[in-house]
Amino acid sequence: MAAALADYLIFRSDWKLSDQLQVLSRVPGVHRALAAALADHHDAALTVDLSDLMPVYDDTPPGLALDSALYANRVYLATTEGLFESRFNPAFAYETSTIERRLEDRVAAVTAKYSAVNCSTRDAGLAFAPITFDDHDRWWEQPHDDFESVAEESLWHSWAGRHVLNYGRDPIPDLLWSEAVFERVTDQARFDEWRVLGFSSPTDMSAMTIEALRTAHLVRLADVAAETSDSRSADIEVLGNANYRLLIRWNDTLRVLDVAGDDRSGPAVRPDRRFERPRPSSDIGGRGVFSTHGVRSGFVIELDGEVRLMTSQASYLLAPVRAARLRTFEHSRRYRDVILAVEEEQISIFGFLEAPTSPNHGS
Amino acid sequence: MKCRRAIVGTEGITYNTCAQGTYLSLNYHRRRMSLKRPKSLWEVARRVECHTFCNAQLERWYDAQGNAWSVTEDESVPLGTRGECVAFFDEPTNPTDPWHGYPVGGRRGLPTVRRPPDELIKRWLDDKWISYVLYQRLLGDRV
Repeated sequence: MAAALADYLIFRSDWKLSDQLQVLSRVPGVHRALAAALADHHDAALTVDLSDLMPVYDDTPPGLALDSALYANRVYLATTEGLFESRFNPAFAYETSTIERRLEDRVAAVTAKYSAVNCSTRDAGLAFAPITFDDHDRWWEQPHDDFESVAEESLWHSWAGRHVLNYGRDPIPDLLWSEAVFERVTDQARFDEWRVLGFSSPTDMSAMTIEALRTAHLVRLADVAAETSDSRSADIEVLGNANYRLLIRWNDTLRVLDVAGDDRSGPAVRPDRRFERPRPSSDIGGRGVFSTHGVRSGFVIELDGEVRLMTSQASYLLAPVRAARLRTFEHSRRYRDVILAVEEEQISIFGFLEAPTSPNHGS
Repeated sequence: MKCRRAIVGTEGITYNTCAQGTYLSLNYHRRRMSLKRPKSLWEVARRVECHTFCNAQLERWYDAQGNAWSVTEDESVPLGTRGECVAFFDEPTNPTDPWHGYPVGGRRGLPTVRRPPDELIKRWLDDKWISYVLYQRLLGDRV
């Protein structure tokens, strides 16, 4: 039972999130039995021999590693000395590939999605480049100076659907609305997919965010564009986002708003239906949030000495650990509700089971 | 810890440091005041603040501009009230002036957003002043 649960909670969290298991767990006694099995076998330690690790690329890029991103067959490594790009082909996993420098600025965060790669380079801004695929994938022959700066400052950034939230020093991030097309990325591709071609100028979301919090209704940018709103004078801070959901500290509460809107009517912000009930900001302590990450069920919040999980039902202590790094896989198929924590001496992978109704039964 | 209190003034308390310099612990980095720009505040005692500077002097933790940087000795005890683990000390304009400093961090939302040089963070790790966890947090601007 415990092994099957681990499989559901960690390696196939899509099964845990499936309608079948959600309905099954509402049958009286089923959730209690699942929780009891977890209580008896709530962790397992594995020792992994790292001596046989194969290098992906043929050279060690300079600088200290800050972030990485894998997308299709691309490997991006962000370091204090720039952005480096390589390739990985699982069909020829034993082969190493060359690694090329793409940017020379210190890159604090890199993300790749929708055939686009974005880099936060702090005072050098947010750099964007389209990822081009061709059927022969002769990537080393493609131009390497195709990054353009789409925002003047970027401490970090995150995708909100096909658009990007750019976090600077202000309490509320700017929104970069994308221009995208739905098409096949190569002649041999079997499906159409979204490709981001570029972004609009950064949009200040302060006025519509504050208005949406005040009125608890959808607010379009066009409705508030003429008004000015100084987010620094309001007691507000967007702590982070899980895809299109913004986690916001507003006065003494935590609220969740959604980035909404469409290409026709432009950007908008509205209260999230699942996270209607405000939570007290005391849930996240007084020293501040170190990072936030999205999972399918809500937000993973990194604090000084603990990692918390906030779902639409409740806020839970996930683990009393100091994390060197946290990773979630919200956009994956199987691991949407899985959290990986790099700690001082080990890596922990967390899955969780939440009681369908009562927050007191979260496990 | 050999920091010794020398002068109690209106601006703060001046100490003689372990490395035979002077350090001024400023009042406005200790109390919440209604200033135009909020200041970061020390959480640790004044003597610990002074000794944090002594570590920077003794270990020669300077940046290219001659400013000094330091890091908490006990990672479970942050230096600043917002969880800051690093302190920044402006190089005095006049060599005879005392040094002064304040807690800083790279994290968005802190009163003073400033990060130590990457080489210094690496040195702190290599010399075992900080854990791998704090090393990653500092490099990633999360504290």
